[in-house]
Amino acid sequence: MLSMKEKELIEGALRGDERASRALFERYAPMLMGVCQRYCRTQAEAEDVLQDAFIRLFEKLPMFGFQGSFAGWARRLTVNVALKTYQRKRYTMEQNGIDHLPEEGGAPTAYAELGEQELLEMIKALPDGYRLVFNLYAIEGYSHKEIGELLNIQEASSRSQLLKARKMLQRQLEIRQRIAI
Amino acid sequence: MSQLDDLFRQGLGGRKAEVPNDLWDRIQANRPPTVPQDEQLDQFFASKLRDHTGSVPAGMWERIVAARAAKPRFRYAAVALVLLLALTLGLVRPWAADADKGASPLPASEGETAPSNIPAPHPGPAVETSPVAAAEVEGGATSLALPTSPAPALRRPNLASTPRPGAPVSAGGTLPPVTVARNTAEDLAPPSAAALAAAAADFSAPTAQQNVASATAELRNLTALATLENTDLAALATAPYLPTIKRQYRPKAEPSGSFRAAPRHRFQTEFLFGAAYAHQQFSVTDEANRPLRETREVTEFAELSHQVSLRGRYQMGKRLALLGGLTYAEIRNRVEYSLLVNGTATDINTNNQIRQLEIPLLLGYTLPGRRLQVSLNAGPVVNVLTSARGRFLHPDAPAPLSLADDGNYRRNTGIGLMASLSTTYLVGKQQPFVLLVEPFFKTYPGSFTVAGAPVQEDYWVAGLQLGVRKSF
Repeated sequence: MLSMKEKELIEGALRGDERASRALFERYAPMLMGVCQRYCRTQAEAEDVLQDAFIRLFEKLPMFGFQGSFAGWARRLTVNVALKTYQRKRYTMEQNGIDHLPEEGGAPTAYAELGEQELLEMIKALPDGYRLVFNLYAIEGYSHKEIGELLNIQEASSRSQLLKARKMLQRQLEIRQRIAI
Repeated sequence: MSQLDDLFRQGLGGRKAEVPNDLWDRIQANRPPTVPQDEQLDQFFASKLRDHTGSVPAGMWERIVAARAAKPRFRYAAVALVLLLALTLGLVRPWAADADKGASPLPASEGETAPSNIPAPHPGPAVETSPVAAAEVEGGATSLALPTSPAPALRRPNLASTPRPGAPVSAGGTLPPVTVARNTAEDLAPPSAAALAAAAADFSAPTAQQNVASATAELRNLTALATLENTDLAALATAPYLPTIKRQYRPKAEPSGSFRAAPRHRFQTEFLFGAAYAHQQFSVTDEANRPLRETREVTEFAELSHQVSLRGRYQMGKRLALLGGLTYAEIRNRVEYSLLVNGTATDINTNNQIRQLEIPLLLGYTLPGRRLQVSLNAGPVVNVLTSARGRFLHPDAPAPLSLADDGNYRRNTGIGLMASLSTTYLVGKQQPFVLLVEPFFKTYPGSFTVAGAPVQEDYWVAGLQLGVRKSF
């Protein structure tokens, strides 16, 4: 359900009120930046995706329709923009695989004590495909079928990428833990 | 074995020492926790990162505002193009209608009657020539109103009977009575019934009898006029009251696809330069090559393409023209990919070019117009030479491949089809030249790649050319 303030901001942005648009941006940008950071490898990429996401958000705002959560709508839209960006750069000239993951993996910490930043770094270190599937499945809650449609891959590929992503993350956690002991 | 050893063994060997109560807890506390697996791992990451927020860099809002302001450029361009076309068609249409009226043998409508301030130097109101009469007269000395009968109404000059450009007399209104040799006219055979009927239809006289009488007299007089010497006609043309005819009632020049100022020039040259959007389409026949198609689809994007044309234009008649020449076209695409350099992903942007040399052979049809004219052109485009330069990504290759070496492009793409809408505007009077604006569309039925290539690459191109036309 939209709060009154949120509704006013959206209506203002729809009318072209610059102040309302800016307020909307300031309200949701940190959350959407968090989403972008999970999907992008670098901060610069995340900033680009955030910029594109907001441009698209203001373009598509008339289609929001005030049904459901605006945060959820904005989040889905940002995820789509991130995926589109990824698809453009899908075929990076890298040959990353499970064996290419760096062994050192950051400061030694017991996994339970790992903070958001460390976990984010681990996710960013995943190869693109693994990172996207893990984000979509584990954090956003998409099913493998939906991921397959979003990324234009087979459902089985999504499962396999998720397993590999998990394996890599697990290994990272183990390495940190081993060093900590 | 000593007895001492036995003593201690028997005394202490089976002894059970007391274990501190908290020992197990202490051991557990020091034991490393098991790293979560599968769904637990997902839960762990999700719980920590679902609500993660990032710091937004300073100036991000300004970047968004700037990007939003810059974005509609292409929309504006598209809207401008549509408006230009609409405007062109809108402007040409009324003129086309004018010209059609001029060519029509039908009598003008009531609203087109001339104003009453046209001088009527003779007691009897003058009547203009009918199409029938004009057809009977040669030499262009037509459209002279003669005071022969009490035919009542003034009519707007009928354009079908107006003199051709360059004719010595350009009169379209009334003229004073001319004394002519009646003998010639009286010797004439009576006009045919059809001619009389047509002549009668052109009058707005109340009675058919009057119409027939005036038509007959008009025929006689005009036939007599045809026997006048050129000098007499020239004298008529310079009559002082001619300029009093309003401009809108003066005869108009016949619409011509050529220069208005120099209609005799049939051959003209055109130089055009244009920008275009080239739409790239990939297809595969073998599903095994689908990854390659997908790779290229997501890494190659259309850039602004361009072409330069030098064309000859041969006017074949009032409306039809033949166009042919040489066109150099360059289709441009941008390739985007990331390259890992020392572990850092670097974005690479590079351009691909497909260069073509073509011979367009178009047939043009010109819609009637004055200074602004529109021609519809269509015909084949014969591709003489095609070459590709650039790179593309292959999912199985560690580095980009060369388009020229591995792209499987044909040396020429065969025959394409082109349609265009040439809008011309005449500039200048003494030595006029024509400005050209030409939206065009080209399509190539054949693929740009050789038969059997892993991916077939097709194009259609749409753009706008600007140029000039000049006659020799």
